[in-house]
Amino acid sequence: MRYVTGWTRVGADALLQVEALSVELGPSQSAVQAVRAVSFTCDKGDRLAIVGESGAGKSQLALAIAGLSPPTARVSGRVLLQGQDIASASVATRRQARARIGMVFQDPQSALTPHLRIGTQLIEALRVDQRLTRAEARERAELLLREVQIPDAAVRMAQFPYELSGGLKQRVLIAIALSRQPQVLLLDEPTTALDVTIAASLIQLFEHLSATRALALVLITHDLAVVRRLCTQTAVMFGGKLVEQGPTQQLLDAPLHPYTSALVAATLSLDERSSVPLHRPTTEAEGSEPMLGGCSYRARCPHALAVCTQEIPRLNLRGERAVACHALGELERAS
Amino acid sequence: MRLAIPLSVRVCTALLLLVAVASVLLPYLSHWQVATLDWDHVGVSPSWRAGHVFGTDRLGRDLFVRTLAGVRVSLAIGLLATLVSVVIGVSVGAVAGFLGGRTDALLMRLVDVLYSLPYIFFVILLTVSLGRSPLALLLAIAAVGWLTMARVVRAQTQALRQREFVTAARAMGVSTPTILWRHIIPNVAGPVVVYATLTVPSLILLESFLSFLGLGVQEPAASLGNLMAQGAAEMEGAPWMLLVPGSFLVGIVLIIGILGDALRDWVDPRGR
Repeated sequence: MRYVTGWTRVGADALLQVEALSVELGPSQSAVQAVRAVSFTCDKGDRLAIVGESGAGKSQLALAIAGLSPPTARVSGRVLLQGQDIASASVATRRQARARIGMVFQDPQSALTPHLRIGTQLIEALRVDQRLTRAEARERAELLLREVQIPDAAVRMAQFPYELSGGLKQRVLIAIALSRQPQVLLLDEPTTALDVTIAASLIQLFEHLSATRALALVLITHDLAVVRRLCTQTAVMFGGKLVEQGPTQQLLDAPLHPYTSALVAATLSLDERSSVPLHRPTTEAEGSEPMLGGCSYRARCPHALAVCTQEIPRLNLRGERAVACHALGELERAS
Repeated sequence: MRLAIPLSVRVCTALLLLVAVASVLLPYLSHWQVATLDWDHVGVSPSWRAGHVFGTDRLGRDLFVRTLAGVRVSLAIGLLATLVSVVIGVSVGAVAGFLGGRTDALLMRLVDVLYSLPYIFFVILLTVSLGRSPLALLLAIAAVGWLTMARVVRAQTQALRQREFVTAARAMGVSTPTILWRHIIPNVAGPVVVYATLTVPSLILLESFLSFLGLGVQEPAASLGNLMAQGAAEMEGAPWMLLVPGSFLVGIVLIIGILGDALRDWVDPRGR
């Protein structure tokens, strides 16, 4: 991942490039800024995690990238796929572009149409814009099911979603997302609704797919263990903005932004429980007054300065990382 | 694969089919015709010996034949009008609910306007202007039957539109008409079937009402409506004239109700 600071672009040939993407929801008088000027790039083979608490705008960001924002949402900024802007493109272009971005949703239970057989749904996806006969599509569908490691593909094809377990359903959804040979796979909390063993096997599958298909993976999650395991790069979102990004290992081991520190501290592993006091990030309800101007994290930040109430912090580069915090200098001196 | 068909459905389907087939065939096979008069047996109560199992009316017409002919007319008009109102109601409701915005506003105001027209006046106007043919009656009934269906389907569609599988289908690149046809409409089938089964008897009742007013099926043809109207006029002297078509109406409405309920369980995969 290369950084885009402000409006300056780096690496114009990147596979997926998001520039100052903003999403505004609700009526214009009382609009909610779900995503605020988020920029990042993600290249072939990259595995990027986007983490943050509920309501940070992670899912809205993913939907906006895929061009699936709700019709009432106002989306600005650019989403470049191999240099082609797909956010402001015509409806037809956007539908074509969606073929190159596969998306997997959080809840496999509700993302499959309940009354259609697995095979029917896969074949539908395959035949949307590829000229395939029914028999060819069926063959391809079975191959896809095998690729996502579903045993007895032929039997599964004839089953309805309610006959499958959650893990199998999620694999079917991955197969559907892969059906149009995407270059980017957006995973919106793909393991949140599943138990840990199933989640672990899915993560292996993602690793396998990103290697064999040269995909760019964008994983949205709040499970830092999954991030550590799967993703090379991590971006932390708070209040619709990216507050910190960098290589996963560095970022989780030595967080720079106070919010990242709080997030990491809140997921302490069991063997560390005794001595370290649990520094819980305050929930969104506790610090929810509108933060127009200034840093949106300041109400919950233990290191807030006077300047935090006036100026929106910009992303500052620190080696391979970028951090948006006014108190960065002080924090570095203290550590 | 599918669940076994429950006993109640088998019994009800069998009864409904029996009545329907009988209503189509028997008036032709029977010795008596809908409009033949039996001068020897005028206004007789039900008896085997006279050859009139349900008795005759004031003019000596066989009530068994007339009732079955009436069932045929009432069933046909009720079912056809329901079919027409389902087609219109589902299309309008699904399009309005799924597209939302201006299309939704336009279509739903049309529904509101039709709703606020005086209902009976509207139907009377239609039957009068289109002539007193069964087709005109059918159109008049269907024209008001689809309104509530459109609202039901619109509400269901609005709820379904939020569901993730619709977003997933859009992510797959499926076009809007295909999403509507394959992913939305089959999912509203449950409520549509249930509401349609409520519509059939209510439209049968509407047909009877219009026939009673003289705007529907005309004498000497029979419908359950005009038979009951005649029966009501004679209920003190000849109660069978009201009871026979009345019990057929109640029976048919009940059977269709039970069928609709069972059908809903059968259509909805989540209930399994």
